[in-house]
Amino acid sequence: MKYLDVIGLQKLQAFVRSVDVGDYCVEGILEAYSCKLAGSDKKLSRSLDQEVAQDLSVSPEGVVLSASPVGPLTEAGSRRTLIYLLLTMQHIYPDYDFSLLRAHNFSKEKGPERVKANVDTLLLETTKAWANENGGDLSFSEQLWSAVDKVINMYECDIYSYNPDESDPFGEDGYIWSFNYFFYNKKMKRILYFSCRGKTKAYEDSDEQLDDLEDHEGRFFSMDDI
Amino acid sequence: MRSMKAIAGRILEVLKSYPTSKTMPSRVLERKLGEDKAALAKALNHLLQEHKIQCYHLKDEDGHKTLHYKLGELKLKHLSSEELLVYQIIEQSNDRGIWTRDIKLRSNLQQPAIAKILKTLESRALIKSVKWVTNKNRKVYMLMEVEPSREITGGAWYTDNEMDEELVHAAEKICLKFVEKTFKATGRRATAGDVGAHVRGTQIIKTEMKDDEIRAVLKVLVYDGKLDEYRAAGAEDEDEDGLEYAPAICKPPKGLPEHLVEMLEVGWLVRSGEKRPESTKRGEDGTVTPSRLKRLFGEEEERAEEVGGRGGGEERDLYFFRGT
Repeated sequence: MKYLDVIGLQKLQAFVRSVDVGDYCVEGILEAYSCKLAGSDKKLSRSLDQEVAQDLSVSPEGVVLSASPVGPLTEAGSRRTLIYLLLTMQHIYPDYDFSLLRAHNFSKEKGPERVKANVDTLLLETTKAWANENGGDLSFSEQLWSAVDKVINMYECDIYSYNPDESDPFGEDGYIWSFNYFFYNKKMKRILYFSCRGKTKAYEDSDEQLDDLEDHEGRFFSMDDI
Repeated sequence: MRSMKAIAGRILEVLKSYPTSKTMPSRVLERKLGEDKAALAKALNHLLQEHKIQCYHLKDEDGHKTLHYKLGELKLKHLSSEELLVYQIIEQSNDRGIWTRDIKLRSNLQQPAIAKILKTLESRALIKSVKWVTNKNRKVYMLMEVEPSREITGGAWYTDNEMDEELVHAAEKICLKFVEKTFKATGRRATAGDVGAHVRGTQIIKTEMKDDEIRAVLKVLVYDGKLDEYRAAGAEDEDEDGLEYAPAICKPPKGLPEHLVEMLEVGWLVRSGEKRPESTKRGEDGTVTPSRLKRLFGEEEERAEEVGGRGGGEERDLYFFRGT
């Protein structure tokens, strides 16, 4: 997946990276990628393709794997969609290894309207912060969606979302809400990723944790916590 | 004053005499060599550049961080100082491994640099990536030759990062049967060690079960109400080995009317999956007497009476076992 540095997104990108809205901070990522497989991507893509095809061949007859959110996994196109989503996540979150994710970890959104409504609601405070910084006639929401539309043609896209759990970036300490959307435009062979997490200010990252490795035990879940 | 080469030679000799797993604090080294500090520093730097020795920044016994030295390892030759730094950070994580984000924070290196360094170290078979069962998505690395601790792989209960529920159930059954058999046959309670030895002896379970894992199974059986845990006579409070296990004894609640006690125990039996005993008819006056209990459960009750006894006075405490 090749990262695309889109001029129209730069200002929004920089803004959402970290927004202080009072009680909490919003940390956002707004990035566009071209569905081009780089060297290391190709290896992952091939092994994933094989694994998924294997899973399909050993699954019992009648199991409806065609009900996957990315489309019937028997079709190469669906598998490719899954692979693009996976690779995008690998690129954006280098500290994580998402190679174990499968179609069931994602959901397909019904359309841009729902997505817009959800995002606008969650970013209400952010909109105010934008207005304070930039003033102007256009609200954050308007600017955001017009920029996104220019880059990816929202209404032509399939929109997907990753279902988070505790063991991923959305489940890290201090984050109280999050959303993530993949806008996948098949024709343009592009994916636009927009995600935000709300981090409560009450959670303080203590630097002492790093001095002694023993303290790292606090970062991981231990078997007793299950 | 000795030549630098001579000093360097002496440094290597001193380090060789130290056990290979330990690092030598710099002041110990200084004391042993008794050389001029500047000359010593020069020699040390020379050896470091040649990768004949390695330098660590570690905490001493008194808690202060000082420089430590160790003989260099051949496999670490030609690694840049940054690569060496990352290697050392990973080395310090032992059998738990370290998350890439923590490597970044400790080394103060940026993502692209880290990614490249990790790739290099991996290609030289110096490190490997591992997965924590409790956090499958994080990228965690450890040294190639280190065996991941059972905590992060899940031990016997996890195969390929998936929980083996059948194994857990099988282990529970075997442990429970053994404790009950032992108690029925000898009247003695079993320790975790006894159970472990039995499980390993029967070889029914192919995976290796360590004592800690057996203890975990026994705890589950206690929480499920199938076993009772006792402290062995004379065992210390904190002693893990001082615990003994026996089939659970159930006491009906004190206030329960006697004619309901029978229904309670039938309920217990049903809940534990056992068949209802054939002779659960009421006595003439509806009470449950020890002799009735004997008829219901056979010899188990004799034992129960020996073990539990009866409370005196109006409140008769009835003890009985909750089926097998």
